[in-house]
Amino acid sequence: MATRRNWTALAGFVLGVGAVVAYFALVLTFDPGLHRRFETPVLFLIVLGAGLALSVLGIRQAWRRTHRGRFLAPLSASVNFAAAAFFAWYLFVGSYAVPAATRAPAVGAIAPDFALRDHRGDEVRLSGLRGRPVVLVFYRGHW
Amino acid sequence: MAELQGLQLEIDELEGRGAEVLAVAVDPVAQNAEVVRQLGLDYRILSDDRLEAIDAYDLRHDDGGPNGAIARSATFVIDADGVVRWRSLEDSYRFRPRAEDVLAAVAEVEPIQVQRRNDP
Repeated sequence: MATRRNWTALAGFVLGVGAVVAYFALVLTFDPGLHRRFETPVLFLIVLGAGLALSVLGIRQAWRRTHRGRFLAPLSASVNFAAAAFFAWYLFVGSYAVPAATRAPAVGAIAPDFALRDHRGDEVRLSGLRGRPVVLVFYRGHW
Repeated sequence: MAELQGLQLEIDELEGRGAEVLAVAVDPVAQNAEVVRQLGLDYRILSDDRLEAIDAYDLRHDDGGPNGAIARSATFVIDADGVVRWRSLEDSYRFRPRAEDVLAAVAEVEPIQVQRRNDP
């Protein structure tokens, strides 16, 4: 029975799951400066990749009985890979699940008019703002 | 919400160039009032709870939010004549237009307006 602690498996788990949790924690800060810096989460993907590699090494060590963790190493690696799979899905598939907006007004088109109430309850009509440029920002809402 | 805060950082420059900034979401008026207060926004948020403008701009994202349809993110820079001069339609909701890009687009709109005013 191996007696040495399987630090490799533990480090892999901490790095892998930590990278995923840290990314979503960052998203939830809503800090525009931070968001801009990590728009492409290369750093997170590198740390995650290192975590997954260590997880695999940890399983190997446990399997060869040089270290402990024949049960925990595969278990933590499974959680690690599941978190990584979700993260990859979110980055490259899930977050792209937005409608194509093929009929959205193109550059050169007249912006469709509308009348909506502002946060004070006053009606704002887009055509009423002619004479100055308008920056119109549609966003997903506050939730 | 980073987008709203990012715009807030540029609001002085945008308004300095004569632009009016309007944000649109499905949220009700009272919630928008709360967001404006909490984030200290100096521009208006419009409530499109019946998806009128969102549909007119083809931005409806069915079941995109916890309570059903929401707007997909999009930004338009509209000139003084009501013509779209720049737009941002990112195909992932992870990406938002940078405030600097919006500012650059507004800056480009301006000279043409000046030119038109000088026309006989």
